Amino acid sequence: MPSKFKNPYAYGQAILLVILVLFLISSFFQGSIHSTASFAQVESAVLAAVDQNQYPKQDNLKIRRLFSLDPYLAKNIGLYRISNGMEGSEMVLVEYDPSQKDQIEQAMKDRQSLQKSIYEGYAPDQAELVDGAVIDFQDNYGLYYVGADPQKVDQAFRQAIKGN
Amino acid sequence: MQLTDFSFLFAFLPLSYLVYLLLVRQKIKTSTLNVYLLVISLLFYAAQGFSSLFILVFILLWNWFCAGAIEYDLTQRANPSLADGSALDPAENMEAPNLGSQTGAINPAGSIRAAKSAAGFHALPAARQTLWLCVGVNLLILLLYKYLPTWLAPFGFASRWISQFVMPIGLSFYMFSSLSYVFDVYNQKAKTCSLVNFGLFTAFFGRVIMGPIGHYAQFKDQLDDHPVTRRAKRYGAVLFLQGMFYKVMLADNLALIFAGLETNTSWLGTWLLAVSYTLQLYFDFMGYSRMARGLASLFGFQIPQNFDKPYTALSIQEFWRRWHISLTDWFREYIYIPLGGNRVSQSRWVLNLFVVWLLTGIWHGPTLPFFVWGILQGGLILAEHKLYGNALNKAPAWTRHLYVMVLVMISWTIFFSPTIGMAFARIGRMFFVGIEGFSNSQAMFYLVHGLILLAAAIFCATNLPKKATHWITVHVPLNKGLLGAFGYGLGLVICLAMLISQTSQAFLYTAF
Repeated sequence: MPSKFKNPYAYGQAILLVILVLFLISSFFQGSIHSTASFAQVESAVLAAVDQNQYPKQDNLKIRRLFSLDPYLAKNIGLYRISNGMEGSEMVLVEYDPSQKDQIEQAMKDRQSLQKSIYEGYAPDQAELVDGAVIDFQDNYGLYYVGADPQKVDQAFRQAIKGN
Repeated sequence: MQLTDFSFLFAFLPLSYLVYLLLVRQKIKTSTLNVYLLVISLLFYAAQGFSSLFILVFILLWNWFCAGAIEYDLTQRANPSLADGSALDPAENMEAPNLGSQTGAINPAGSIRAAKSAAGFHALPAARQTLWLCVGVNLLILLLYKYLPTWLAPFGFASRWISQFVMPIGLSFYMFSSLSYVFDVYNQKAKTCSLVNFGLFTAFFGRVIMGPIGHYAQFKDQLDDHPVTRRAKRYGAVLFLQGMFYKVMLADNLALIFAGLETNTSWLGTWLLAVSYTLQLYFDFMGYSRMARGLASLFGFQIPQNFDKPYTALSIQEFWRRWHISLTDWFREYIYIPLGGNRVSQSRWVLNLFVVWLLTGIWHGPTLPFFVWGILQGGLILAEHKLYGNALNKAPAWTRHLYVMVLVMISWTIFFSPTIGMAFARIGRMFFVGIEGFSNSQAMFYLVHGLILLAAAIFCATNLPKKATHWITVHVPLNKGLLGAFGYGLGLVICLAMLISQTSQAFLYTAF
């Protein structure tokens, strides 16, 4: 910083710029997000980022069958997929108590691993799709997404849980 | 926290207002009242999270310091003892602004020529350097939080890195409000004020999230004196309740029709989708604006209306004089007029028009549909000016109205579609291209079950409610005050019931 500004306000400007830079750098290392957004809001935002014809909402009882996960562990949960064994595309959006995070996240990882091993045998393109899945579990919201543009969907999810 | 949250309606608002009224009763100075209002506004915004609050506070401090620096530089330049021979500052040569004029508040010609002949940024007058630095940092923050997360989404590592930056709610709105302060100081339409007053102008909780965007020069006098009269309280309560009605009763229910028809590919379903969104967007945003104005009035402030029955317009130009007035005023005042407005050559005017409308589209969102939507508005306005404006003026009112509504619905279809391909597919289906039948069971379901809602919404979008109210006032032999109180009370109860049933939706324009 220069030792002397002509304009007295320049000191404030300089300090603010330094603070801004430090804040932006610290933003890169922030921990998991605790969301106050409603499940409906997050669901709406995430579904807007996908082709909804490919992700119709399914009965939550299927979660127990497909993911070996009790849907009642979560506060809110949604499974979105076409009932087609040849398609690996699927999505799970879940709101949970932080204490359940690890169990639910592990269920998603197990599902990904299982699907990948299944598809490797006869549909390598689907296996690749599953391998590129987003498993993004924050403090009280999680997303498991297999499909096109995973980063775009993840971004929509993160924006939604931050309430934007 | 949203204006329809219970925590706001039953805790934040009544408590903060009660304390405010007690302070007013104690004849506390306006400056102290403003401190209180700023503190509660920041507390309101703090519910969005620390990161969002930080950005808001930074924007406040940064723009306030920049405006102070600009005014200091302008004052120094006005001092005849300064004789370094550098280019004349444009504000120094500016005449008193004529609000009826379309010429620029800044006269760029002299200073731009001088700047071009000198060594770039460093040769510019100090005030202009500060202005560019100020705007640059603001736009950098907007770019980082609003645009890069979407633009970098296809790029793996970059996307992960940028996904940490999630846009603070209301950033587009309060940033533009605060920039109006900086521009007005630069153009010498206003002097700098205290940080508290500036913070209150920008971050007042009633409008920090979804506007209306403030124009400092028009608002500044109210910061020094905003008495809470009985009339202002009554007016504020009425506006707030009206806004809540439009949002909860109309917009939120129209949202259900919209959500239900998003994947419908019949002709009827596509048009119902467009109609429901056209009405939903209007009542959602207008409802919020009305609630914001009502809140402001409760605290003694007057905010101009943001919507003036836009769906009664008879041309696209008229539509944009009635829709989101604060935004169009902002772009006209601070972008279009400084670019020269229409007092330039024909080709330059066309360029100015498209620049403004492209920026308007970009302001709304970072994806291609928004850009196309903005350009389309500019194109339609240009076409009305140059191609068929005279013919349009001679046409019967009903054809002009039909023309406006069809084009507006097509525009909104582009606006709400996630991709331009989907937008064109939907527009095609509106005109029988690619439809899977004239209608289907889903479209008929929403038409039958939504008919009353759609009719009520269309009714409320016209001038008919005002005429109906006037008729009742004249012909119904009942105590008008009691009738009004009963009506608003009933409306409030129904709105609260709907909020309790959790059928309420997020405000649409928070996405911008």
